[in-house]
Parts: sequence; structure tokens; C-alpha cells
Amino acid sequence: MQYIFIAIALLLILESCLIYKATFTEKILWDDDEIAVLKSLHIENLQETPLSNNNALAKFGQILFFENELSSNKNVSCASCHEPENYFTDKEPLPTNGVGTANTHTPTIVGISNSSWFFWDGRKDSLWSQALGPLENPVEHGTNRMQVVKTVLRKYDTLYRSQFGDIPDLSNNDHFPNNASPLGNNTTWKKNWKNMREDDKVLVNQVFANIGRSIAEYEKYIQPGKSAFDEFVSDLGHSNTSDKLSPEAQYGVKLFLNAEKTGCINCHNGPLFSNHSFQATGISANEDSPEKIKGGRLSGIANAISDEFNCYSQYAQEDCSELKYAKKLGTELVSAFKVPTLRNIGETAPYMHNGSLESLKDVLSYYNKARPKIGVHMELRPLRLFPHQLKQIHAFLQTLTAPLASDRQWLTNPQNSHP
Amino acid sequence: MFFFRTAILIFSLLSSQLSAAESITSQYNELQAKVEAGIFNIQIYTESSSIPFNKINTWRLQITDKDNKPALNLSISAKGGMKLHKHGLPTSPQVEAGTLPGEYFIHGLKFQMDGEWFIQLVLSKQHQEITEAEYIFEVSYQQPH
Repeated sequence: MQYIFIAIALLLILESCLIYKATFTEKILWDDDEIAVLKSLHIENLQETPLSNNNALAKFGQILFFENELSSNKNVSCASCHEPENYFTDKEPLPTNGVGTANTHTPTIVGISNSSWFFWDGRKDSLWSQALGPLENPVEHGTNRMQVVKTVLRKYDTLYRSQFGDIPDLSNNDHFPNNASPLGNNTTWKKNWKNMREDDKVLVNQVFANIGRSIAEYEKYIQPGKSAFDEFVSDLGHSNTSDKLSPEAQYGVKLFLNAEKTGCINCHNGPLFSNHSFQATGISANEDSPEKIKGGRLSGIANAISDEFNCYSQYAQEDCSELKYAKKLGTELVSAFKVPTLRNIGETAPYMHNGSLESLKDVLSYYNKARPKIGVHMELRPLRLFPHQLKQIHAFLQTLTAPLASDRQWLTNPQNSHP
Repeated sequence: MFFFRTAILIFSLLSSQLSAAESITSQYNELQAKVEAGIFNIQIYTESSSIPFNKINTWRLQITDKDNKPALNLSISAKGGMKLHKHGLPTSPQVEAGTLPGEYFIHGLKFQMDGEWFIQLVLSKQHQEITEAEYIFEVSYQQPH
């Protein structure tokens, strides 16, 4: 019996050595089917690509994105957590740069305009309405709708007017108190909002929605750049072999494409390496959070349906197909969170919706074992890859990093550029 | 004179409705499959020759009965998924009758993974037994440009 175990161990070592040797000696061939799938991942397939650099609405949105006054302590902007120098993430497990600590990890916004759903649980169905959420979140910007609207109209009246026409007169404090919001946990703000006339609320909401539209227009300019992986795929357009990636990374690509063995590509497909759907990875939220039970997409879609700025609202102009036909019930929605892009994944640690995995190695190790947990819905099955194979996938993922395609002018605070 | 004008108005309205119906029908004109299910023959049409990947799309069904007559007033529900991955559709499709006899539309279909999918149709008519039809098909990342 002992000899059998030794023989198996020797065989495994031999296999590893052979693969290791192959990694550094053989030319790796790619067949037509593989190349076709690789082409579908190429960045040129992105629908939203950097537009001209003369979009006035986007420039207005950029100013608002970096504006600290749109917060309760006058010290928090969108860029506080979505830091341009970190691929618009904050490197924290949970964001602490806001008024408090949020309960989900800051996702990158690079390429986000290509998505149909927003936030980890998809509780918003448009980028512009997503941009409004953090402003009124007590632990993010921590402010209220009226304060945001009045600040923007006061500081940027000319810019606002140039984009949206006439400015409503909100000077009557009896009708438009300085602080009012239907959301959050401030009872005074909520009471002020409740006491407002319905048509006055609509006036304020319209300006608020326009603020969201401006920020969303800016975010369209934040797009990923062409990576070493894309260069490799372009090279395969001429031949069935390429040396644009290391052999180790190419074997990683092969594993990534293997739908049966790893299944990575089932969800991480398309030019952003995300199908923008929701998956239950078994990574639970904070143990004492209600999110553990009914969080994720299940509550996200319920919130999207009741959202006052969804595509059915009077402030929206978008096609409503995604919301209309979205799945509202089902076990697969329980604890399911948005599939993130893998573009620049090597530079956007930590990972998962709660930021609980520190490194890419930790993520791969988690997927490799994928142990079910009692009481936690999970759709993963263990990859059961050898250590050298995990290294190959890791090497491939590193090739998805590239400088952003966005012109430099979009990556800094425009107020600082023009003192 | 009044009746003449009214007749022209009604004729115009009917013509415009008919042409709108024709235009919707012609939009979904790529025959994907013919499926036999009980007393029904179902022809499935899509907008383009390949089924769109990860986009909301609509299918048109043209359903006839065993006498090759349009199947009218059917109640139809649609569900589906990927058997290999043991998951359902990411959306909740809705079926509605078209304007032509025996014509129905499935709205809100979406397939976000490459591979083999199935759609199961449950057809019923008042006081008649339920018929189930299953259509298995492939969806690919590789979309024609």
C-alpha cells in the first residue's frame, strides 16, 4: 500500500515537472475556436469607448465627482473612495474615506458605463441614479438631497444652466428647507422632506437627477486601456501562436477558457471579463448583517423596483427592458453579488463584495477549495487545480492591467487644474 | 358624407394597425427551429440568425394545431436555463399574443453564458390539457459582426 502512495506521488511530481518544463520550452498553439473566444474578450468589443474630449456635460460631471461640498462634513467626494490613481478604488476592504464606514467594498468604476446594473447587489438600474445613492448614504457622503441641490445651484449656476436650462427658484426656505431628504436616518431631514409639497419635491428631484446624469456622463469617460492580453489576442489574429504573453500566462489563459475545468469564463466573459450578472460565491456579508440572509441580488432587485429614480420614474428616459424582465425571486438571487470586471484586477485588491480577500492568491485559493458553508447560498464548485495551475491563472490575470484609455484630463480634479 | 368620412377613418386605422403588426412580425423573421409538442407545431423566430449573447431579446412563435390551423387563445408561459450549470434564466420572460393568428411573442429573454440552454414552453387552452415543449439550443460568445 505504501508503495502505491509513493508511486502516485512520484507520478504527480513527474507531471508537474513535465508541465513546468513545457511552460518554458514549447510553443503554445491556439486553435480557431479558442482564438474566436479570445477575440470576444478583446477590448475593442467594448460598447462604451472614450468619446471626444469636449463634452461639456461630462466636464460638469467631473467637477461634481471631485466636489467635497456635496457631503455633510464638506470633506467627502466621489473621488474620496473612487481614487483615480488606484483605478478608481480605495485599496480598503471596506471604505473608510466617507463620513463613516460603508458595509460593502468600493468597486472600480472603470468601464462601469457598460453595465446594466449598479452597486454590488444591483439596486440601481442606471448609472445616473447610482451616482445619487452615495450622496444620501449616512456613511458615505452623509448629506441630503436638498443640500446637494442647493449647493450645486449656488456654486455652479452657470454650468448647470448651460446644460439643463432654467434654474428653479428654491430661495423660499419654507417651501425648500436647507436640509431635506426622504432617505437616511436623520429624522429632521426626513420630516422636512415629508412636509414639502409634492410639486416642490419633483422640482428638487429633477435637479438631483440632472446632477446624477452629469456624474454618469463623466464616468463614461473612465474606460480601461489596451492591456498585454489584448496585444496577445491581436497577435493571434495573424498566427496560431504568439509570444506576446509568457508561456505561464498563456497556460493560465487556457485554464481560464476551459468552461468545464474552471468555469471562469462562464461569468467572466466579454471585453470587461464580466457578464454583469449576479453570482453567489459563498462569501458572506458581516455575520450579524441581515444581508447574510436576504442580501445580495434578492434585496437588490426589490430595491431597484421601488427606487424613485428607476427607469420607470418621470426622471428617466432609458429603455426599461432590464428592469421589466429582471428575475425578482429565486434561490439563485440569495446572497448573489455582481460579477466584477477582471480588467486591472491585479491592481484593485482587496477583493469580493465585502473586501474580505486580501490578494488575488487568496481569491484563487478560495475558488480552488470552495467549501460550502452551512446556511450560506453558494454556486461555486471547487476548481481543484494544482499549485502551478493557480500560478498560471494568476500570471494571466496580471496581464489584464493597463493604463486607462481615458485622456489624462479626466483623471484629476479639474478645480485643481485651474487654480 | 359623414359615413363616408367615418369609413375612410376606420379603414386608415385598420391599415395602419395591420402594417404595424406586419412590421413587428417581419422584425423577427429568422427561423431558429420547428418544435413539435402534442397537438401543436411551434415555429420559433428570432431577430437575427444567431441568438444574441447577454442581451435582452424577443422571440416570435408561430403556432399551429394538428390541422395546421393557427392555434388561437393559448395561454403560454416560458422558463428555461442551463441544465449543465443547474441554473435558470437570469430574467423572467413574458409571453403575449401577437396580432396575427397563432402568433405569440416571448419578451425578456437573456442568455449570459456560452453553452447549451433550454427553453420550456407550457401551452394551455381553457378546459384543455397542458402541453409542454422544450427547445434546446446553443448560445455563443462569438457573435457575428
